[in-house]
Amino acid sequence: MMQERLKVIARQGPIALRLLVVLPFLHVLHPVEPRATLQEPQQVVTSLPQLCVHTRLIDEVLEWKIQRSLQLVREMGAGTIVEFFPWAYFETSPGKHNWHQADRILRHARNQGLQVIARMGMVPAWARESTGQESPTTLNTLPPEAWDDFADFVASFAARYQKEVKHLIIWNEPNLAFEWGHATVSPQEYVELLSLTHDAVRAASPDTVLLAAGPAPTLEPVGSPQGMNDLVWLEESFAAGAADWIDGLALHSYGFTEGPEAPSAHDRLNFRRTELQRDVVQRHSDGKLAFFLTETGWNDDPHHDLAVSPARRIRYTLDALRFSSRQWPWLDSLCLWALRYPAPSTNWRDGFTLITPEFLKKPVYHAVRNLASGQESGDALWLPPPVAPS
Amino acid sequence: MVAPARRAVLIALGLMALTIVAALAGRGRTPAPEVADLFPGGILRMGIETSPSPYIHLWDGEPAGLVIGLGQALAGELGLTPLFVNVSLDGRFDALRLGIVDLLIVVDARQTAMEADVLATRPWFNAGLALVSHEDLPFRSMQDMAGRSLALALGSAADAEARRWQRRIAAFTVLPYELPQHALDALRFRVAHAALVDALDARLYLRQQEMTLVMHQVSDQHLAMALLSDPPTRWRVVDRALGKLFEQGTVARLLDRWL
Repeated sequence: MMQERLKVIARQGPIALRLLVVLPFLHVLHPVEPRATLQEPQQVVTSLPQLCVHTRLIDEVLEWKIQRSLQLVREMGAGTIVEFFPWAYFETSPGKHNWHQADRILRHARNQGLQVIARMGMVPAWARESTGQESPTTLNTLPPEAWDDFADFVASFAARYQKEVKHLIIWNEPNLAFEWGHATVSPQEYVELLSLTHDAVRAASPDTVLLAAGPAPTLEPVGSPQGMNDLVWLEESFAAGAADWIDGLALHSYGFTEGPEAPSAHDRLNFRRTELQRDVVQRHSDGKLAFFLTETGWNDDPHHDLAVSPARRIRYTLDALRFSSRQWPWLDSLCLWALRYPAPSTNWRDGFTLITPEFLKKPVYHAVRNLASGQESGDALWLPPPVAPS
Repeated sequence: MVAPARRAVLIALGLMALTIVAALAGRGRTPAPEVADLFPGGILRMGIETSPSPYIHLWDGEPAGLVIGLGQALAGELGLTPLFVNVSLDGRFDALRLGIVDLLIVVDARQTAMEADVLATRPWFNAGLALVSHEDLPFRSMQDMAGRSLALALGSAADAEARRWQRRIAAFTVLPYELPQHALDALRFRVAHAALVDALDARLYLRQQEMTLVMHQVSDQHLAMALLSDPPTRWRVVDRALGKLFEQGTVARLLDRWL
């Protein structure tokens, strides 16, 4: 009996030994993510030279998703993207930069033949705490003590990426309290920030085009703690000398529930509010400033008061692109918000995207791509309302 | 991006009026000592967005709706005076951190997982997708749809979900309409075997129709309240109070009233 057992052990021993050797290497057998190797440099082919889209690649962990997103931008016929490059991500301690994520994004954008407009903002903890006060701050809290640091960061970015990034947007929607660290918004302070940034960037990268941040379209009444009316904001910031420190404007205007040709008015928010914003700027400048509509579009969340149905969103988006090409020759780029988020927002903000986080293309993506490639079929995308049986 | 101000002002005025009414109604009630310590001044400050409907309606110029009702009931359960504060979608977690509000009433529970210092309460509504069909020919899940026809709104979450299903089961016909109501009409008129819409649309439609339609939820979107995780007692007190509202049938009554 014992002999039999010994024979079994002798037979199985080598197998067990082999398993012991293999075990440490089993962990490498997890699924491998697709590689993101650069292909032949691509070019955008489009009949809509203004078409641009706001991406959200900065939080994308996997490189192949960055690459795929930018391929889809090119295939849609957009020649430009707007991307956020947060200061807090790149300079986590003073003077020490880690450009890895920006390198990845810009490498693939260049490979796809895309222009990049970079939006700068978001304050690292060390800069937020530079006042020495212990009051709570947000990622948008930029104390005056840190303005020079911010300007230095923007200049470093501009110098490093002068080949890849021609346009920089300084901050975002500074007329909103939320975007100004929940402090009282101030056009004068913002212009001061612009002047500091201008000087630093000009010294580091003289050809970089500086754009003032687009104010959020809003009808906030005077004294509102939430923010300032965008037209008032533009009046005040240009009265404070904004034009001296910039080469152009990044405007924001959404369609909300109105079609793109609905007329603008001071007490209405719609797509053509862009014209009112530009009028203010033109009055205060010599007419040489460039205009970029860096956030626009319609939301199709089913339960939001300021949204439209997905079907109507398609129609409005296409009409807006046609309208802009025809009526706004002064507009450099019209950037749809937004291509895709890295993860679902799980709120009405998801109603702005063209592609889901898992890369499902929404019908609006196909419609824009068909328009940009001149392949509109004219077929209805949806069925007529069903009729009750007689 | 901010909602038009006139509407926000109307809602803010209405909310102030509601607060006064609630304060008068709540006079004489005192919160438990533990609650009073957690909510100084006896006020429960609840962050809401003014836009989403039908959670918040303007009802004869006054804010009303599921969220307002839920907030009032919660404050009542805690013996506190409700105060509704407008917060923007982008700034709502900051509003919690800066102490502008004590809680957010409507948050997708999945979102709090992305905020290290925020906790969700138990969910009070599942707003996920629902498969709606006739009672005499019911469909309960994706597998049931093979070889059938499914009506939905083009470009909606249901549209995306149906495309996921198309990769996983035998072929079925998708009938895209402009609106979810049209998709539900297609079901009602028996043009489609089933309709895929979100739970809100399904509930609102079903309550208007005399025909016997049934709905089965096929995906989850749990709506909950959110609070800072510190102090944990505050989260516990609110979650427990919400639990009592469930036990008393208050949440079910509010859902039935508004959805």
